[in-house]
Amino acid sequence: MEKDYILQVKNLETRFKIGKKTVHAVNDVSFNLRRGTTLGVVGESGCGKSVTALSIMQLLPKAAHIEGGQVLYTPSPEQTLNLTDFKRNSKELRSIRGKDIAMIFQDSLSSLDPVYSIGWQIMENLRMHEKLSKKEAKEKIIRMLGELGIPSPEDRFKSYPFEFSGGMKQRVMIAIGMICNPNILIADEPTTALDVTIQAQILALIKQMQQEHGTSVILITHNMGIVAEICDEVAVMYMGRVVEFGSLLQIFENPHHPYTKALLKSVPVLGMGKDTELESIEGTTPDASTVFKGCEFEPRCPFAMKKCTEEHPMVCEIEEGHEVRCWLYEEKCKDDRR
Amino acid sequence: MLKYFFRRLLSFIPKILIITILIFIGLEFVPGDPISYLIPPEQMAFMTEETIANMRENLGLNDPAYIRYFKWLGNILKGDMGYSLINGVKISDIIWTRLPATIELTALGFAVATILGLLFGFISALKRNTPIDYSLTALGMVGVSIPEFFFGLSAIVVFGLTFRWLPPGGRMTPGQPGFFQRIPYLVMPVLVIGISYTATLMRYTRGSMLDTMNKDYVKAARSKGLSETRVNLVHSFRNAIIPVMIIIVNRIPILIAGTVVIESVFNYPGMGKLILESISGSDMPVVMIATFFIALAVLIASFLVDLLSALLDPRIRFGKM
Amino acid sequence: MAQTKSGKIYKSSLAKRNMLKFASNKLALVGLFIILFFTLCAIFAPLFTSYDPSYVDPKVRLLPMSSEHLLGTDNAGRDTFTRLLYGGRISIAVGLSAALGAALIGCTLGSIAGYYGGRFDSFIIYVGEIFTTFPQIMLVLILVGLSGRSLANLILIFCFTGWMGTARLVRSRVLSLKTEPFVESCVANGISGFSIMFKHILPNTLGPVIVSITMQTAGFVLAEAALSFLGMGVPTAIPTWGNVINAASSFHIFQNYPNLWMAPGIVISLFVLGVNFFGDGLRDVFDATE
Repeated sequence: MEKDYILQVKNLETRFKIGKKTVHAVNDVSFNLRRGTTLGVVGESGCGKSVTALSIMQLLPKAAHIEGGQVLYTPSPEQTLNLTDFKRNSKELRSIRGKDIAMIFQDSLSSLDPVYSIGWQIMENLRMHEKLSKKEAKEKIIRMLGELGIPSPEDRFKSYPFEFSGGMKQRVMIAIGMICNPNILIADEPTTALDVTIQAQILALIKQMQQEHGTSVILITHNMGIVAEICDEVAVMYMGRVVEFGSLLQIFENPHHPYTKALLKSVPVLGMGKDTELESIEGTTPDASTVFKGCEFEPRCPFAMKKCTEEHPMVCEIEEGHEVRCWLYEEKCKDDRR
Repeated sequence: MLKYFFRRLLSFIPKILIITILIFIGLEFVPGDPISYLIPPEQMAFMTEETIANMRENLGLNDPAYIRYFKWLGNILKGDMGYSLINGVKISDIIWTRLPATIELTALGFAVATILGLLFGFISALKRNTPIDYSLTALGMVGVSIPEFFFGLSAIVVFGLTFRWLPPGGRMTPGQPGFFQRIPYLVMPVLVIGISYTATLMRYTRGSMLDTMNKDYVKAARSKGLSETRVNLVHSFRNAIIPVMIIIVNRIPILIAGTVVIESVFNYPGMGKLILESISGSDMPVVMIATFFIALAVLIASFLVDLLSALLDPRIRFGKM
Repeated sequence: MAQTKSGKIYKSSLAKRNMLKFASNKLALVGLFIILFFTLCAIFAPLFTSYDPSYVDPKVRLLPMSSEHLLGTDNAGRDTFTRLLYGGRISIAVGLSAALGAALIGCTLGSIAGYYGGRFDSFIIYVGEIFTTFPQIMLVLILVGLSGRSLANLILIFCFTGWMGTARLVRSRVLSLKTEPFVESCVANGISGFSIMFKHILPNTLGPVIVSITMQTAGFVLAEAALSFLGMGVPTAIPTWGNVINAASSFHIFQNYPNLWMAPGIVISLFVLGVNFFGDGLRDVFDATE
């Protein structure tokens, strides 16, 4: 089964040093990405989901560093690379960035370099990793732009980012990401900055790209609706930890962690009964630099016990592929894995 | 780009006209009879009151101001700028001997200082919060605080008089007018005139660089697998210099103003020294014309930097900013 | 908001917080110390020296440094140390008053241009652009040449030629403040434009203006020194830092009596460095974005 995973994140720890303070942005995060599927990473802003994504390719800001854990990338059954073994901007890592693993960033409006034409920027990625003549590259890019629904791609090739709308820019970002036909596409809140109508189009495009090219996708979002729409598996994050991991069905039909439950209750889902009321989660997210002895969700948790304040909960596998990090399910655990 | 070029060019014409009007008004305010600088002094020596009065009529000095302005402007365009009050030399001749010296000094100073300022700012930002960054920043602070003339005087004492590596002043050794023979004379003035400009530029480049280095598009560029050198130069630096261009334009007049002090310190025969000498000698016509050329130089330099900004930033080129 | 480790938030007034922020900047404190030191030395000059800064005594011309004349005497037999002490009075006063004057003009024009916009705005911008085409020192030189050398003239000319920076700064601040909701609510409450301008908007531009006044003071001290050095600034008889250097302008003195120009050069550099450090500290305090 292991070979079925194209990317495995194991016990990843990422720290930020801000002045003399250390912020534990990512704590003991583990999840697996199955080949050809879409994994959703959900959580409130500031829960460490973006940092997790940046940690995979070590695109972290200078103040941050990976303290421990592994990121295992398995491009083919014979080969597995641990990406955390490589230095931050090493040659090995750079040959993977953009080629094997591509990334789409949250703010499409500011992710394109304002001074270069979009064709140039896609070309930069393509020619970095593939030996193509300028003419071939240009043809390929124009084809890709057409596939992504950008009208008259030949003319738009030379246009600058400021001449595009938000949705079009995000399409260009997808083109940059997909042009080298990567194995993994990491999309960090790809639709947050866009209008709702455009959101659906962009999601459909990502889905379409995935089906056409067999790409595995990690989709980072705070929007449960988007997760329900296109994800196969879901990791729920809170305060730098994955609190629950499972298939879409497991998470939505049978949520275990109190946070996941609360999160699901707070989002309107199409088709929900009209008498169902939306609930908000009590309390506020603590400051990221706060260090907890016990469970991070304890202060807001309606089921908090004494144990929750004293010890970090361990990960319990409740059923095949469904993991929860909560003391409530201590007895149900199939096997102990700290 | 061509459209942008002409649009900018067009906006400079009214500015040049306004400057000529200001210079003309300045000349009007100058105490003394305008006739004294309009005709060669040797000619004037043989003239009676009556011929001078006739002359005045012929030159149109009794005409209303605006007519005189246009005549004056026409003469300037023809290269006839009048005569120095002190030595009766044609002002145009004085300008043509002094202007190239100043252009040489300021253009070199500008180039050297811009390159150094951008380079140091770039390094400082990349090495942020390291000893290199701290020392560059401290040097920059010192650079803007020490008066230029004090720098100049100290340089003369050290390199010109004590070690005798460089000539302490002047523009050329008599009989050796070639550019390469002049270089030793240029080293000190060129470096000193740009010190404060370099420091300012460094500071802004550092700030702007730090700003861009955190931009999403830089992260995105890195996610393409580009080398750090390429990310820093092609994406960060390229974007970081765009706001710095405004600082460059703003500092050009200050750099050129430095010629007054620097040329005096190094006894360099340029426009700055000319203006100073002429003011001391109350030779206001020369001062005014020289100032006109300086202002013109500032305009042209700003225009060129503007064009460069447009080349660097498509948003300016397409009039979106 | 400062936050303690336990996560408790304690309140502190803006002024107190700014003071703390400033005090934590060591360079700014050094700057403040330098400024105070030179200013106090200048004010209490008679306490430190018994000589008269303008007393010409041909018998003691060009004496070397000694315990009697700490920095020697100049060509006219005046004590250089004394002249530096007294010179500080004029130099600092010229710098500060010119900076204040220029800021006053700049604030007035900038705020009116920013608030009312339209033709007056474009006019001010254009005038500023034309002004900046003439390098400041040259403009000052010409005006000094036309109006004659005097202390008051110099200060006025500095004000007249130095307002553009502050005007631009205030204008852009006002332009962005104008769209803030608090101004809109003032308008909605029927407060007059004048009152909005001077009671609500202008105080919000004060921080950057104070920084710019500090920096301009440094600039004008340097400009005064340069002009006096060239013999075009304050009348030579009045001791200023620039005039002290000016006394060493002949090549013979320059080469053989370095104490006469090194000392004032170092004093000016140190003072300006102090002002720049101080201004930088202020900038950090006022600039919320940094």
